[in-house]
Amino acid sequence: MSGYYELPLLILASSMVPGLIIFMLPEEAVRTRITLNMSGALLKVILVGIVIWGLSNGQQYETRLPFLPGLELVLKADALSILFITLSTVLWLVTTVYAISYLENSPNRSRFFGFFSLCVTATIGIALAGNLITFVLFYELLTLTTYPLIVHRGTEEARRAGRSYLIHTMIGGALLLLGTVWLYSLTGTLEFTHRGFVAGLLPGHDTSLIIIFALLIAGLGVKAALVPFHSWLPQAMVAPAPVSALLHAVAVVKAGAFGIARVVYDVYGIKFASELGVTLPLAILAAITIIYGSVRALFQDDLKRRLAFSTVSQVSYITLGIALAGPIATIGGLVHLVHQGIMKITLFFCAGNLSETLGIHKVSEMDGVGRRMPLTMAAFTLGAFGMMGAPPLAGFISKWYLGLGALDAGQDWVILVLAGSSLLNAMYFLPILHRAWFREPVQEWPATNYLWHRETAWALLLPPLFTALLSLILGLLASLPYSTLEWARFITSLEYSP
Amino acid sequence: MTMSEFLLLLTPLLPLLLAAPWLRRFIPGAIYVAILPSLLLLLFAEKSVLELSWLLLGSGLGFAEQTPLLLSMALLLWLPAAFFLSTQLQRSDGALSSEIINQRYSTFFLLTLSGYLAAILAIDVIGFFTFSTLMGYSFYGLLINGGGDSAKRAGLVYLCFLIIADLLLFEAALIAVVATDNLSFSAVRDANLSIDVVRTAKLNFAAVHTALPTSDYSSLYLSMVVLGFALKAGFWPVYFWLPLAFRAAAPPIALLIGGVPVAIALLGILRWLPLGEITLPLAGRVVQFSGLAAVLFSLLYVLIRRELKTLPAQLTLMATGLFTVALGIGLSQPDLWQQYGHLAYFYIVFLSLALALLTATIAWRHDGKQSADKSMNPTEVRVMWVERGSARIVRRIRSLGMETLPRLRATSLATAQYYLHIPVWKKALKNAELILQRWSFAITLLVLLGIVFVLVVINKLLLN
Repeated sequence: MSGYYELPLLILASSMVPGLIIFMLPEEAVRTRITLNMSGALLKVILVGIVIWGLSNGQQYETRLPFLPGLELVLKADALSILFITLSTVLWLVTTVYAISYLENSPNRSRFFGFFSLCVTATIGIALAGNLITFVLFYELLTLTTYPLIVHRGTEEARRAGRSYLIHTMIGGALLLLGTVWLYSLTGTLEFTHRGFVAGLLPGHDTSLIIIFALLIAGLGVKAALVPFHSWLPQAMVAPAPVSALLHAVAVVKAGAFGIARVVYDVYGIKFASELGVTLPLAILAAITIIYGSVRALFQDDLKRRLAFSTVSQVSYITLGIALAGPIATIGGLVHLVHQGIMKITLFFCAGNLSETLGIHKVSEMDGVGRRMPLTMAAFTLGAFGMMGAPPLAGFISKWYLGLGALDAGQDWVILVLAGSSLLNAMYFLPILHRAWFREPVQEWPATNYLWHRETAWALLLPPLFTALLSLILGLLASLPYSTLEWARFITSLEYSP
Repeated sequence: MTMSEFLLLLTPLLPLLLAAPWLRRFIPGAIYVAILPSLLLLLFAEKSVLELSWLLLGSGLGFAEQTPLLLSMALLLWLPAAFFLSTQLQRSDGALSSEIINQRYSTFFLLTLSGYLAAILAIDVIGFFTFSTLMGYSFYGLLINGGGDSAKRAGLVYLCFLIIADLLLFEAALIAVVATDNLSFSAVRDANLSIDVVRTAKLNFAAVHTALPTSDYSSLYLSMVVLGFALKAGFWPVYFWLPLAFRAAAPPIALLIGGVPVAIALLGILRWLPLGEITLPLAGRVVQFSGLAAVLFSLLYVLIRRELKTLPAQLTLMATGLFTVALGIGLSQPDLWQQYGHLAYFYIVFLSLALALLTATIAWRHDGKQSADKSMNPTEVRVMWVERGSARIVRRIRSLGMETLPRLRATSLATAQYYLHIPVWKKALKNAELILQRWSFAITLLVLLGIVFVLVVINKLLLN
């Protein structure tokens, strides 16, 4: 037990305690609910800041709690977990601000914000998990806490989407658990270790290890929306915009992608996984997902559905970066874990603004909307260009390193996949921008009734502007110390250095 | 920071800042003010380099030997364009829609200017790529803003070319990293990796020029760079956006076509390629031949299509054809390029200014009226060209089949034509998605089994 035993627990509690209290609040207790939400989110930012500072000064943060004989629940802050925690914490704060305004007049807000906080608690738990069993527990908790958010609207469509989500993720969870138990029976440990704990431990068990790897990846691939486990994600877009933001950028798909990183790096170890021959098929699966998601996005008129298929495609960049099994591709994959989240949350916030303010849900309804909502559409433009990988936005940095990583790993075919995906991204994002900025509006938009003739409420406008600016800064200032890129380089050096 | 360095930074930064409409409210004549730092740079700056290690993957701006010439071109081009534009903006009827269009003109004008100036001053591959991308997309905005169907069509074609060109140049930049071993790939492969090794050194043009001639990738790099910039500049035979743009663009924007996208693409070729240092006789001859073909084609074009508004496009084709011939000679005989290569910069400046002058004269004769919109068929624009083109080919073959082949063959071609329609594929994909949703559990298990089987087989093969 180290001197900083409590801090990982405190980080978890900063969202769990407000969440549990919020459940008990009556609907009318708006101020108390907002205060609890915001103080929890801000406290988490401060605590994560302290951990980052401590880690960079050589401190260690680890909590161990007894769970089963021979197994402990371990919460541990390391370089990889910090990358994910920082993303989730910052975006949770922004999403909370957005959700408070977005759901201002909707029913069941206490239920919503209660599960919202628990959902983030589960995500932080996944990030901090120091062994595979802790990871699995929080992974399942995430499934259970996200389901009520997806069905929040209570419509038949929402219930159908929720059912689909639950079936998919429960099957995924079962496969993950099966793989974990099998692995434990073989190794007797589940502790995450740099360069993996499986390597060298089990000579002669290659077939078992391959099957376990497939089970683990299938379980994680459901949340990471790898084809063919992805169909729940486009269905889940019926959920309110803040939930979509949570699913696509902060929590669920990221948890899947992060899990794949943990399995490849800290369970199997990249070198051993590569020797076992499991990384190339994973890279091929990721490449198929990248192209398939982009092609499907091309044909969607529903804006959120288009963005959902775009997520299917973009999240697999992370898996691709990991599966290419080279240091430079790893940097690309890890950087994209953060960059994709920030760019995609911007797009979902903007889609939410269009729907909430003007009732626009479809791309075909967006003609001339840039005139009525210029700031929202400016943020959307930055997010879309970032997704296409245009410089100097954050997406460019990810694609640059993925491309170089592919060449370094001798997988030249990946360059074609990246080029094809960029082309398809342009084909489904640029028509939206063209409609919004250059076409004449086909209808008279409702007049603005916000203070100083703003296009929408402050709390809806500031989050996408903040995240759009962030996606610009992360690309433009990629080489600054403590940038995502530098942090990803640091993690990679830990993983690959002899 | 010295004054030269400050001016180097300010030259692209000021137009970029002034592109924000709310900032322009406080600065009258913003489009003229934005050009001012480049004038000061031209007058007062000395040879210098501003390292911007924090920018992107490490970048920089520099005032080199050719910079005064290129800055003079910029001033002679952008000042009249700004004057033309402000005259046009003053002429607007004051309606809200006109006001919005005017605001957007100013924004895109300043964004294009910023990207243009930064590209001129860029000293590395990534910087040039970034700034020319900013310029390219902003120029698309300028091209289609407030225009009719013909402007939209020109914009669409230009945009398609731009996207493909950027993809090619992105790949070329990746190849440049490999060729120059800029990421110390060898060190990475030897597992001597540390953060410092992975840190990207700048892809300076000088480093690229030194490393590429001895690299195995030089031909691939050359092809990608030439094709990428050829698409951007509208070289023959990938020139389609050029006549459309000249015909449809508003006069102040038409003035910039030769000097902005075309000139920066030519400059890109000079900057990205190690001309005078690399000998590629075969590639040189191919490039020379394509240049000669372009010149002949443009001569025919001038004779056949006597349309005044596309005359600058035809002359641009001819001029870029001549440039290509020179490029081909430079590739096959580098010693000649070393002697005369510097003249290429003068050629770009001359071409930009001559085209601007010609366009202005034509615009003056036409009194700024756009006549091309009437000749466009608006419904034609909505059909995707891929669909239209492929359908046309199949229809042609089908009719041929009807006449010459058995009926069965003709029916197969009819089926092929059906499958070439995009709605069919949309429907097929949607159905596939539904099947995936309904049978998710079974498919998951099946795929899992498949994956396990493949992995086991691969492993067995690896072990053997």
